[in-house]
Parts: sequence; C-alpha cells; structure tokens
Amino acid sequence: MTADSDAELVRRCLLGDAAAMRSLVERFQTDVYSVCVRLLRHSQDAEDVAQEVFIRVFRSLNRWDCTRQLRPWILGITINRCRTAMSKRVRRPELVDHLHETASQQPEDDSHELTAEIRTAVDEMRTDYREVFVLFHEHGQSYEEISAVIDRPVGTIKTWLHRARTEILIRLRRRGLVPSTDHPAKKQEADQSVPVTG
Amino acid sequence: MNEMTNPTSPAAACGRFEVAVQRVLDGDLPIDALSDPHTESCPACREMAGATVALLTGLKSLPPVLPPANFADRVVPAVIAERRQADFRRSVRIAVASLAAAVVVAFLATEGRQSPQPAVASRSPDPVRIAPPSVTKSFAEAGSAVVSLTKRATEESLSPARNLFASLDTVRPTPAAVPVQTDLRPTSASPVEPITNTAKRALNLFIRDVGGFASIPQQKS
Ligand SMILES: [Zn+2]
Repeated sequence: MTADSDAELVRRCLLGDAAAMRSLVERFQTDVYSVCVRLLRHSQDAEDVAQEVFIRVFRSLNRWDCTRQLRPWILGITINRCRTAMSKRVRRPELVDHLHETASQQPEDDSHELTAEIRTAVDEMRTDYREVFVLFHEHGQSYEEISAVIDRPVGTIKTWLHRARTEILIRLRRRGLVPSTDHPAKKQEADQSVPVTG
Repeated sequence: MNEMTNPTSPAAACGRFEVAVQRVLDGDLPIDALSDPHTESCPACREMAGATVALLTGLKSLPPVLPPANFADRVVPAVIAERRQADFRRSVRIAVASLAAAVVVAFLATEGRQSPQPAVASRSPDPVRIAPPSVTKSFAEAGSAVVSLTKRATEESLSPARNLFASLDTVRPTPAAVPVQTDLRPTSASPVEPITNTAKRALNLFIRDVGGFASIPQQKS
C-alpha cells in the first residue's frame, strides 16, 4: 500500500478524517519537532510549540495552495511559531538544554567533540542564520524553498547561510578541530572508508 | 589595480577559494574541489579547507532529533478538541449575531408602525394602503429565523466533529515506540493543559459575545 500524496491526505483531513489527520501528523512530526528543538534549544518548549504548529496547520489547511509543496508550507508555520515563542520568552537564566545530545546517543569515537562543537556553534548563532543553516543542512531545503519558508529573497538566504557556515568554520579552526593532513580532502576520502553514524 | 581586483593576486585567489568552499558545502562541487593548488601556498585557505571537511563530517554525524514516541497520540486529540472549540465559537457568534439582527428588525418594525406616514406618501394621488406590521408577528418571524439559523449553523459545525469521533475508532494503534533521542523532562503539568486553556479562551469569548449581545436591547433610540 502506497502512502497518500500530500494533496490526497489534506483532502481527507478537510473531510474530518481522523486517521488522515494522524497520518499527516506522523508524516511531518519529525521535521516540525526537530526544527522546534533546533531553534528553541529546549525540548519541552519544542514539544509545546510543535503541538501549536499542528493546531495551526489544521486550522489553516483549507488555505494551503495544493499546487505547492506541503512540507515547506508546514515548515514556514513552524518557523513562525518558533519566532513567536522566542519573542514571548521572558528572559530565563538558562534556557538552552542540550537534551538532544544525551550520553546514550553520543558517538563513541572522537567525532562527538566535533558534533558538539557544531551544535554549540549553531545554537549561538543569531536566529536568522540558525534558521537557514538548520533548514539547509539538517532538513535538506533548497535556497528557493527556504526563501519561501521564511519569506526573504534568495540572495539574503545565501548571504545568511554563507555567513553562518563561515562562523562555524572559523570556530572549528580555532578549536583545532581541523584535519592535520596537508590535503584535507584526501583525509576525508580516507575517512569515508570508515562507516559514519547518522 | 588593487589586490582584490587583480585576478592573479593572492587575495583574489583566496576569494575564489572561499567561493569554492561555499559551493562544496552547497553540494554543487565535489569535495575534491578543496584540493586546490592555492592551498599549498596559503595556510589560511588550507585551514579553511580542513575546517570544511570537518564540518561536512560533523554534519553527517549529527544525531537525529526525533519527537517523543507518543507525540501524535497527544497532538491529534488536541487538534480535534481545538477544532470543536472553534466550531462551537463560530456557532455561538452566528447565533448571537442572528438574534441581534432579529431584535433590530423587530424593533425597527415596531418603530415603523408607531411613526406617522411620510408626507410624500400622503400627497400621493393614489396611495397604496399597506397594513401596518404586527409586532407579535414580527417577533414570531424573527424568532423562527433565529432558531433556523442557529440550528443550521450548529448542525454544520457539529457534523464534522461527529465524523471525527466516529472515525476515531478506525485510528490505527500507535506503532511500536521509537526510541526517544532526547532526555525529556515531564512534558507538562497536566496532559489536558492545552485543552483546558483553549476551553477557557472559548468561554471568555462566549462571555464577551453574550456580554455584547446583552447590551444591545439597552440602547435607547
Ligand atoms: Zn588563500
């Protein structure tokens, strides 16, 4: 049995089919929740906001343009809800929880230091850089899709993403997390013979 | 010609390499593009190439973020409850608006009966005698219109909700729990908290609407 297309799923949801509503939630919950975790940096807030996102999605599902893709539309709502949540946040002393990188799932090898450094660098970026970095590198969205999601020109998205990457590259250099061979690309080729998790 | 505009200058070579780094990270160029001869003579770009490789490696190793295993179990009922609340609010608004309109119509009809015929009408060579509206009849008509409108709005609102509950029985069971990749704290003080808040908001809206309606008959003409 093949999964319903997004348009078919939406059509069933609009008819009040609860099974279709559940399918829609299950189809997009990982995208929505992980964007919330990455942007809000707090798993409890992320869960609350992710729930709000789906309430908002179903409330405005009849306004979705079926000639466009559903995923970027839902991610756009997710980004907006996260921004609202961030703007409502009263300054709390320690908001960031890195619960998504618990000991049980940390890679055994020294790549943990690298992933932790990248994660910290992303968390410390300004919000708009973080949004585009997460959408591009962790959710596989293209420049054009991100442009539609966060309602900014493609040129702006490129600029933000390039700056976000440069910030991370500089940080990795400073922390000495750079392969020591003369030609790093060759080192990468050698590394690729070793299975990488994730 | 300055350092940046001279295409053979070291600064221009660094600029070209920086562009190549971004294109590798975009996925437009293979990672081999980082083995540029320029990196042999430029320590800064060589380090940048190394950092790019590290970033690509690290991105592949980032642990995925998965929602809690019972996320959909909590979200779907919350969504359904919110829809029911929204439908109820809509019905109440329609009913209140219809009732208010009916009262206004009845009031205007009463006023029309009490006021004298306009002068223009009395000068008409062949005046058409129209029976004055009966207040009792106007109220009866307004009342039945309200009942009909309210009933229809409520039916429209409730029928999808009935379908939702009917089809809830067909919801397939929760799949085997996916290992939660996060170390979550207790999710909230109460699992019904979002629904409670929604209900509170609905009640407040209802009170507001009813309050608005209640003030209408007090208006003096
Ligand atoms: Zn250089």
